[in-house]
Amino acid sequence: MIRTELKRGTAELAILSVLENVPLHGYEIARQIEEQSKGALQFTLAALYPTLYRMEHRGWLKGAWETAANGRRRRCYRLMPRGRKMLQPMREEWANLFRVMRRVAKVSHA
Amino acid sequence: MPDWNRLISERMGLLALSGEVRDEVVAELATHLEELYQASRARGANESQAIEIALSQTADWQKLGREISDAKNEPGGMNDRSKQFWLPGLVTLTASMVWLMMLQRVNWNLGSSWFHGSPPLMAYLMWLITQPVFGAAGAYLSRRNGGTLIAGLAAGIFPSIALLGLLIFITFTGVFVERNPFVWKHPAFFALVVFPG
Repeated sequence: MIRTELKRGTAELAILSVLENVPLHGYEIARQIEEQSKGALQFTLAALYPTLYRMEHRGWLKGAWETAANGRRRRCYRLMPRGRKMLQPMREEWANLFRVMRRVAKVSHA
Repeated sequence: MPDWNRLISERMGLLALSGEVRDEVVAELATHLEELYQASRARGANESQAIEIALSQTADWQKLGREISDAKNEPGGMNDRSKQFWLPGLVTLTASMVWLMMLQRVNWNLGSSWFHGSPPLMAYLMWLITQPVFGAAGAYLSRRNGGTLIAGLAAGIFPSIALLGLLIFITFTGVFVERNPFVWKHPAFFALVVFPG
């Protein structure tokens, strides 16, 4: 079943995916998503941080201040077990959505 | 170099957050804008252009402040464990206990029926027979809320866990507080009732 929250989960899935293997700070999360989507997905500050804080509040991510080699302090986010657990079902829901849309709307891969 | 903390604080106003959390949010947004500013400068923008690009990340700073406050204070703070274990478990336990109360009110005088147990025993027997239904309902609620197989199972047997806990508490209280000799005089009770239970 495709959940109605799926649409809202777009940003969450993108964030969970880029954090799957490496902790990143907010700016780098936005940059990675933009780069990996070849510019199709762009996260502004206004879109990114409310989502990050919501995910952190739910225990999917944990943010912690870290000091980079150049001395700059940044808040890095790492995936928590609860967030990791969410990743696979969310991916399956998206795959399901694409399957359904291909069938219903004759949408095909680009 | 712009004072991002000041620029953000001025624009966003007071967030509905405690001072420490608010400062942390402002500091984090400031580091983000600083990164954007540096990237724009590296691409050849002059200082005022780079500041403008950074600040154009949101058209409405007040709205961003409200959204961040909402995210940090998200209501319904029921976490996954509550939704997938505690809530289904407690619903199952409550439903099971209400069902037991209803069964105890039924007149179990079956006359010359096949069963010769006493009415209270009949009520308990019927209650035990129907427990899998409540267990299945608890497991279903847990799974519907995204619970794992183990969480579903735990929610399903929650009434048994709770009653076993109660029984152990009563037994230990009887032995060590009230010094009730029943436990020692009736070991078969524990062997045949408590532990299987």
